[in-house]
Amino acid sequence: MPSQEQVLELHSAPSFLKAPFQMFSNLRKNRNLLKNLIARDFKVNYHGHFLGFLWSMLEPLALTGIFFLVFVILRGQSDTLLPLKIMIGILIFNSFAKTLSSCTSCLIQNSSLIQQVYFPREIFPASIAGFRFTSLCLSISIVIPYMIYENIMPTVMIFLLPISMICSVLLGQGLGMIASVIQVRIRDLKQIIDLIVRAGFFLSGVFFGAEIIPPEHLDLYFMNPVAVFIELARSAILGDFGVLTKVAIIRSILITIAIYLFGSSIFMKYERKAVKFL
Amino acid sequence: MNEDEAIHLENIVLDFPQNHSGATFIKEFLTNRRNKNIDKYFRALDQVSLSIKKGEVFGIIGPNGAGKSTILRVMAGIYAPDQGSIQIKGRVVLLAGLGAGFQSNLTGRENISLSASIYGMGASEIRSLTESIIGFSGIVDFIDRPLRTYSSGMKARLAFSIASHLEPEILLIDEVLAVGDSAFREKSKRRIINMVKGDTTVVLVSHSETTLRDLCDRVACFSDGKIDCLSEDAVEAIERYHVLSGLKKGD
Repeated sequence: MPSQEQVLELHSAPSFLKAPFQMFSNLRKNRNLLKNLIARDFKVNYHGHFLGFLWSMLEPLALTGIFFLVFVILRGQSDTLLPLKIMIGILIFNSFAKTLSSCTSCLIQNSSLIQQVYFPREIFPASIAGFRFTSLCLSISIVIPYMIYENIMPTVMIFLLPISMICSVLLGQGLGMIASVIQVRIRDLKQIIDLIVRAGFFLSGVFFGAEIIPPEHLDLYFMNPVAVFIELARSAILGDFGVLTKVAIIRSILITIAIYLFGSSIFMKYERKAVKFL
Repeated sequence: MNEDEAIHLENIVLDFPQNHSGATFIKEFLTNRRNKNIDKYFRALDQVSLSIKKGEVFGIIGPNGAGKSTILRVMAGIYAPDQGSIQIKGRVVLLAGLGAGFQSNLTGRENISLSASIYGMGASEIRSLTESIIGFSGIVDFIDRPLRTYSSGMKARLAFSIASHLEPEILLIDEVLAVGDSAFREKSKRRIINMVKGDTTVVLVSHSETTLRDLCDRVACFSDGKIDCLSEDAVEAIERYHVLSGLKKGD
C-alpha cells in the first residue's frame, strides 16, 4: 500500500537521471506484488496444459529438430554440435523476443487494471522480465542431456552463461519499456516490432554458428548484441570463445545496460501521460 | 496542508487527449497539418480545488461525464493532473469495479493472494487475512476451484470480501455498494457503514440519493469538470443535480 510520503510525490515524474533509481526502489517496495505477478504469469501460461511447464522445453526442442532437419537437408551440415547450437540460439533469442514483445504491449494488456488500482507501473515490465528469466533458467536445462551425450564437460566459462541469459532478457525489457509508452499512442508499433524481431531471428545466428560468417563481416555481425549473447551462451557451454571477441562481449553488455537505463528513464517519464491514452 | 486534512486538491486541471488514431493520425503527421476545428484535448477536470478532512464522508454526485470518476482516479494516483497540486495523507484504496486483477483460470484462493497484493497488501498480511476473507465471502466449497466456475454473484462476493479487508485510511468508492444476493448485500452494506462510521476518510461517488443523504457529511455536485455546488446539506446538492440533469435532458 502506498505509504504517506510516496503518495505525496506520486504525481511528479522523477528527473531523467534519478528515474532508474526510483524504479529500483519502487520495485523493491512492491516485491510481494512483483512475486505474485510472476507467479500469475506462470500459472496462467501453463494452466490447463497436460504437460504444463514441460512445454517451455518441448517447444525449443521441437524447433531445434525442425531447423536441424532443414539445414542437414539443404546444406548437408555435418557439425555434430549444430543441434546444441541451434537449441541455445532459440532459447536465448526467444527470451529476448518474447520479453520485448510482451513489454511492448504491457500497458495496453493491463489497461483495465491500471484504471482500477494505482501501483507503480514499472512493475509490469519487471514482472514480464522476471517471468521470462525464470522460464529461461528452467528451459535451458534441456541442453544438459545433450552435453552428457556429446561428453561436453562444463569449464569455468559456464559462469558466462548467466550473463548472457540476464543480458538478453534485460535488453528485451529495456527496448520494450521504450516501445510500451509509444505503443499506447501508435498501436501499429507492436506489428512493426514483431516484424523487426522476425528479421532479427535470421540476422542473429539462431540456427548457425558465428564461424560461418566471413571474417571480414564479423565486426559488423557482432554489432548486434543479441547475436553476441547467443554466441556467448554457446561459448560458455562449449568452453571455447571461437570467433567471439572480448571487445564484442563488453560492448554488448554496455549497450544493454545503457538501453536498460535509458528505457527505464523513458518509461518513468512518460507512463503518466501514456495511461491517459488507454 | 493543514493537520486535520486528509486530501487537499488545488486547482486541479486534467486534460484527456483526444485519440487521433490510425489514418487520421498518420495523415496529420505526414502533412503536418492539423484539423484546427477538432480540439486536441478534452478537459475532464477544470480548476478543481477541494479539501477533505480526516474522517469525513464526502459525497460526489453529478450527471454522466461530469468528471466524478476522474476526480477519484486523480485522488488514487491513477491519473496525474496536468496542472495543480494534490496532497494525500494515508493509505488510499479505490474501489472502482471490483476484483482488480482477477484471473479466471486461477483458483479463488490464488486470486485472493493476487488481488490483495495488487491492492498493496504485504505477504504476511495476506496470509493472516485469507481465512477471514474466505469466511466473509461465504464461498467455502468453491474456494480451491478456478474462478471461471464461479457465478458472477460469487465473483462479486469474493471481490467485495477482499476489498472490505483492506482497511485503508482513505477509501474512494465509485458506486460499488450493491453486490450479491440480498443477504450478502445487507452484510456488505453494514460493512461499508462500519467503515464509513469509523475514522476512515471516505469519498463516495453515487447516484443513490438515500446513500448520500444518510452517510455523507458534505456533498458536491459536479458538472462539466467543475464543482457546481458544494454543500453540507446533501439535499441541496441533490436538488442541484436534478436541475442540471433536467437541463441536459431539456436541450
